[in-house]
Amino acid sequence: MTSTHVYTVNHPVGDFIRGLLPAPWAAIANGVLAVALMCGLVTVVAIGLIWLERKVCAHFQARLGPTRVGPFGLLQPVADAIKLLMKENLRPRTVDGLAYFLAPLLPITGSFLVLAVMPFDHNIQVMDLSAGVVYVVAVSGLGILGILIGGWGSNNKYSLLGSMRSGAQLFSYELSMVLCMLLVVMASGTASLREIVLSQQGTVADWWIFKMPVAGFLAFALFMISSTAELNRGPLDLSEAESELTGGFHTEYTGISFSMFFLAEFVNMFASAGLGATFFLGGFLAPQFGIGPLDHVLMLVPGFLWFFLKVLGLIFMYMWFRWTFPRLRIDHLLSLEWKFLLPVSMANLLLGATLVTFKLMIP
Amino acid sequence: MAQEPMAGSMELQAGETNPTGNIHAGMTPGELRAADAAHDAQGRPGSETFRLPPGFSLRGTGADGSQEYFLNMGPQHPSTHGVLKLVVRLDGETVVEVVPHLGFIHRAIEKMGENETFVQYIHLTDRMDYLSSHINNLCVCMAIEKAMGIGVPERGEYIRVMVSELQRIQSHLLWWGAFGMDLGAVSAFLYGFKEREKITALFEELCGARLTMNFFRPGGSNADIPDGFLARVQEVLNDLKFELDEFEVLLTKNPIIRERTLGVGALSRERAINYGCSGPVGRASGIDFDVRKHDPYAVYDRFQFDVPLGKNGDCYDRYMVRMQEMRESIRILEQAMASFPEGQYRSKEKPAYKVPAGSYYANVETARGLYATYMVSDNSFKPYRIKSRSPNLSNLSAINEMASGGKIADLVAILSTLDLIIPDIDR
Amino acid sequence: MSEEKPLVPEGAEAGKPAPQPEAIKPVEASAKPVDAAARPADAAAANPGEPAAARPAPAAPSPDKPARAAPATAVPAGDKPASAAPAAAAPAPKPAPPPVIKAVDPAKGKSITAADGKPSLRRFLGDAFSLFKGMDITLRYIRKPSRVVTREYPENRETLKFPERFRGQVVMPHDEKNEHTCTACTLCEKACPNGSISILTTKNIASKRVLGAFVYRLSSCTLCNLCIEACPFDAIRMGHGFEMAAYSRDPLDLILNKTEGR
Repeated sequence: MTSTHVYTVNHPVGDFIRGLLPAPWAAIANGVLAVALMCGLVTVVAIGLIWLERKVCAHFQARLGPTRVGPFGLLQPVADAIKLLMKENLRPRTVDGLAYFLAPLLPITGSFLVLAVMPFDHNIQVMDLSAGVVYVVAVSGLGILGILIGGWGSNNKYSLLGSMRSGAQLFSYELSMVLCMLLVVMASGTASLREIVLSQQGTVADWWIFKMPVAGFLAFALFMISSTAELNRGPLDLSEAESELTGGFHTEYTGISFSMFFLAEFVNMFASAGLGATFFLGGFLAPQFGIGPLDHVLMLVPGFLWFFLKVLGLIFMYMWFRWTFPRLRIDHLLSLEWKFLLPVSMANLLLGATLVTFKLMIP
Repeated sequence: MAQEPMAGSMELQAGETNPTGNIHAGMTPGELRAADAAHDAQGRPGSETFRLPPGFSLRGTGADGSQEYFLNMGPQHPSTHGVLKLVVRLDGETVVEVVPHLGFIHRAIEKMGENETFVQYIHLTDRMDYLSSHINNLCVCMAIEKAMGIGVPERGEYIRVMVSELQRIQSHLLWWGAFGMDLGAVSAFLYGFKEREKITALFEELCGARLTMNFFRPGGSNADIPDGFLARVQEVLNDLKFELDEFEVLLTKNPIIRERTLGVGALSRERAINYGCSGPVGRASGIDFDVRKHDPYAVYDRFQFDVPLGKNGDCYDRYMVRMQEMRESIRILEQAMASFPEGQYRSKEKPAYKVPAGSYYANVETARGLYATYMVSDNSFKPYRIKSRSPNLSNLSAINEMASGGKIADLVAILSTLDLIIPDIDR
Repeated sequence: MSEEKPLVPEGAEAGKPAPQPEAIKPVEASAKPVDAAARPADAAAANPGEPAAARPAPAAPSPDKPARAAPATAVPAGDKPASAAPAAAAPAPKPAPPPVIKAVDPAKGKSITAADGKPSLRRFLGDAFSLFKGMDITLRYIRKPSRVVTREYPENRETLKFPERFRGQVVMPHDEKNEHTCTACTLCEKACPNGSISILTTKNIASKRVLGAFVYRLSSCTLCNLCIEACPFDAIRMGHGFEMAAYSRDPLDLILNKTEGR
């Protein structure tokens, strides 16, 4: 795979438009169409995830969750969205104008950009960069930036504290997450997300979680923990939950701007789970077990459905963590990362390097 | 950056104490409005003249330029302990001082007691420590019985023990749920309430109410236990034993809980005695005092049960003491139900209770500690003065000791393991 | 309360200082003497005969200090164990202390990230395993949807079952001839702690004083049951009504009787 090369993803619709319009216009039209579809997908995903979170949370707690708004409460998130949009948009006089305005936009932008390289199927992907992993890591920093800027721009010492704490947490956990992703990059020999998925072709045992004897599973576990922290979720959400006391970075935001932060959390969850599925669980590949008829049946299901199923499984894991465990204190959180996760990730990387060099994969 | 102080306002220097808390003393309402408007117009937040809570003094800027700041954990809380205002002085993340401000739910219950008859006062004590309402009622009844020399038949005493222990378990289940929720395990709250609901249903069957019971009377109780009650209690206890094991797995053995509670908020035995801590808070600090053992009432002296004792007085000890207390209560209940006597449930009821002149005292062990009633009577149908000693007030008074030096997150854990009921403090 | 009484103790006269109640007994710290001899029942029931040494030896200070990064806490760590012994040994002879069990063993609860705790693989694996067991407990609720305990109100109104003694709002039962058994004795009015009941009487044909209207102020009723206990004729009962919300206070002042008394 040559380095700076953008692979065109060949899709019937894209080809059709390329046949229709001259070259630069076709590219622009394709781009606009892709972005529009992405917006649609993100909206549906966010709404669906809000509903799923509430239902799963309720059933973990021996209750029912939303049941009245629409069948099975499916329209509950719509009602929530309408409520949020109808709230008064307060803007304190003394906030730092540009920072206050910009902050909610950044996390959602970061999520969008990550989803832009996510391989949903063989030919459903907005764009595939050969340095996809590097791009993903770089762009997920936008979310962190948004939180930091939001806390600063709010002109509120509690927001500042909360956002600084959150920023420290996110920045720390990024390291171990990246190391886990690097393991897969090293094993598959490519940084393009699509190629990483395609390197897992074969049976289920060829998925990176199983293929490398210990390193794969360990990397997956570390990735789950780190991404839980990156999402400010679950047991690692002190900066967000202490917002009950000190306000947190989104104190001064109401209405639409708050809903931007709120939505970004769910889209981020989808993006993280997508990355997890891509790196470790074979992305859009159907699970093949080596049994002829069964494999044939499984292949009939389209790739993006397998992708969504795997993503849903990982999202369920995130929710499971959140609704089971108490939360870690900030110093425990940071020492967990720096004293445990980071050294273990590095050791894991070393182990993976050994496996790759001596070709000790499970065939 | 010093600005001209507003007309009539007081500017505090470093180290000064604001004695009255009224920073704009002596200003007319018009001047006050003008001062506020002027302050806003300058558009400078956090200016030098700000209102300090009364009794606080502001330390000057530290050597490294850092400044302490105040955090108001106001009367409304996400963690539902009640309407308690904690003014916390913080240095960065570390708590320097915690001062509770009380009185938000003061309802003058003791004053109302002076205008109600003795039996009418019982239903007011329901509303103090509402999670131990049976036991509070029992305390008042015991005081009246002591004053008038009223005896209680054996079945009545057994009913009292059984109901008190069920109430204790119920209260601890709610505490457990709230503890889990405060520390982030929200599901624990629902599980605790689910179990508690079984006991609440028992009480609903017994006395008709789910929170404010008003069941005990001088000489016994309002009514006898319904048919088949003992069997249902046994069912609930069987469920509970299984569920308590699940709770142990969910929270007690959880390393995150252990990290957040071990060594946090330690209170030594001497300091606990000085503050008057009792109940699980005192016992976790090593004070081996339980009213049921040292001053037995009802028929507690007939039952074999242990009183769990902690060592360090940290949050972990308080947690473990309460978990163990639930199991001990189950033990008492099973012994009581095995030997439940027949007979009357109440000695002869008087049409009106006229307590002879004098002062009388009775104390009980609620789920929170030593609760006592002190009544002064002047030979009439209404008390001259009736006072309830609240365990939560003494427990809360130790919070500065426990929380200072720790982090804010520790403060939440400490508050949660203190198991406070604020209406009991304010009465 | 039906009448205003002056708030002075009995025996006082207007204008004079209130006399002290006679014979105030000194307050006793505990009703019974804390004496082993006076309470044989206690010694028999509790763990008999063990001296104060039955308590777990407090002499050994906790081996590991709790892991706190904070600077000097307000609680000096050395206080607790050594002073347990002198606090226990009061000069007066004390009875055998009640049996206690050690609820906590601080040595067991060490974490891997504690500054002075020694991380060990065994403890780490135990922690990880207990985390998984915790996850299993919450998973059990998802696996069995029948464990949901929610009751969907108000859809379940028809099937709601109340225990017989449930204390809802007060009702006055009438028989099929629309008659009740209230004789306007006003015992309930006097028993009510906050004046939620007012008995308005009237004279019947025979010039006998009977019940005119039983005014029940639901807005101030605490559902304490004292009126029911006071009634000697079982004229009123705690019903099972609990849906008492109203948009104004007027519907909350009820008249319970449908007919005048006899």
